[in-house]
Amino acid sequence: MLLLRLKRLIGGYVVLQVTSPFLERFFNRLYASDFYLWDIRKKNENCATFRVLLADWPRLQELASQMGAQIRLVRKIGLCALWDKIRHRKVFVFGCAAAVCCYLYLSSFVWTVSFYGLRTLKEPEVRNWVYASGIREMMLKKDVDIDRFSMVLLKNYPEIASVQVHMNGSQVLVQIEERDAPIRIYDRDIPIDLVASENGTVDELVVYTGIPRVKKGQKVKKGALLISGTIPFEKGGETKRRKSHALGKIRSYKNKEISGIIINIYRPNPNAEAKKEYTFYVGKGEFNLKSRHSGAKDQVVVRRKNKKLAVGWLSLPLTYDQSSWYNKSDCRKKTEKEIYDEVYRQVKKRIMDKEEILSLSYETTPLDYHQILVTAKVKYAKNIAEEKKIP
Amino acid sequence: MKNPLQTAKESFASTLGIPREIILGSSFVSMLSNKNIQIENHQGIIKYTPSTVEVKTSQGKIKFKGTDLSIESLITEEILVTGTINSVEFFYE
Repeated sequence: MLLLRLKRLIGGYVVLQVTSPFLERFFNRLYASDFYLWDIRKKNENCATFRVLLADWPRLQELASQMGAQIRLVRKIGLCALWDKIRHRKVFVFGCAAAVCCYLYLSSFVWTVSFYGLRTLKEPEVRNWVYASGIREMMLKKDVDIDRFSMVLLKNYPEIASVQVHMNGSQVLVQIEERDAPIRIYDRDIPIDLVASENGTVDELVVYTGIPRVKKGQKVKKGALLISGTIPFEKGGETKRRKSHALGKIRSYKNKEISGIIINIYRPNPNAEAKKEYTFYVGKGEFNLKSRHSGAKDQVVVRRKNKKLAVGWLSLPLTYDQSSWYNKSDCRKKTEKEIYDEVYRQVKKRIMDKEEILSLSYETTPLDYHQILVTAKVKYAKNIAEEKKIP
Repeated sequence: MKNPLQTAKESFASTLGIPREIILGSSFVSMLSNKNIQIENHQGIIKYTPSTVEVKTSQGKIKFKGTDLSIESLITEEILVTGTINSVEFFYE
């Protein structure tokens, strides 16, 4: 049965509709003339549809006209039928084939390299590292050695804790996880003092190795000795000194006021419809594409900046900003906790992620119908110790 | 009364173990549940509607009644009818 179906598909067949007052006689005449018929279905008293091989179609037309039956071709099915169609559209077929070949050729290159997970590291800096490690735009995808590239990044850049690299079409996605604190390999043979990197007050002092030279609450100036690596010890009644690698954590609490944080107080519902506005950046210019949207009173806008333009799998080296305008009725107001979390995130970004936030308070001023301007007061702990070699 | 020639043929077929439909030219009907019915050695369609199909055979006619009946294939001496078959009647001379 399967072979028969394959044979029909390859050879091609036609679906016909016959109208005749003597349908049974018509079918009997056909099968007796060695026509192979199948899928005969009656539509009404004088009308039925059936299928016959494409090769038998001309002969059947002749026979039907002899018998006075009206035959209508409903459709042609099969490879031969397809070939009949394509034969008269050579330019179109050639164009499709050329387009497919071009697409396949272009998609064999890496078009963009994107980064995710960057917190304190700057994208241009990481991009240079990636280029130095052997991956860049416009290289062949088959030349991308993901394992080797990941190892090189991890080996050469201690700020990176883990790297995951994926190929997504013609885009290389690099997911980076930064270390919370850069790994420090301490060579205990190198004698080190810890000195103050800036003016401040010692609010937290933890000594691992060495002799502390300051007390908690003491004000220090830049360069002041905080923990000494020179450790005295008694030997044979004499006081001797041993030089070691001082280790410790000295933090100063800082207060900072951060203003200019803009928070959206509405959040669109998951299935809310948005009217979009796009701003494309080409060279030094920009141009804007927007759908018609109503006035500002009843709409909430969510902006996403620096999105990469992609066509299917192909990512293009173009960035754009997208503004999505939602009806206020399709949005809900954010809770106090959600607003606090958003303020916290924005403040952490501004004070550099490495610092620990101890307390946060803020004041808000309504900016317009859906945004507030936040002024935050943050207290954070900053490490003020830096290493200095003991001569 | 049976035709003596017919009787002889039947004996010949049963003695030698040869399929009867080849010697006698009788129709061979095979059914798959009530969905499919295949008739070999037929002599054409007498009537076809979605509820009734009548097929001529060398011994008479076979009538199927059912719903949504369609002729799945029709070639020389073989017909396959599908649908929901409710009854099969043999009208033999």
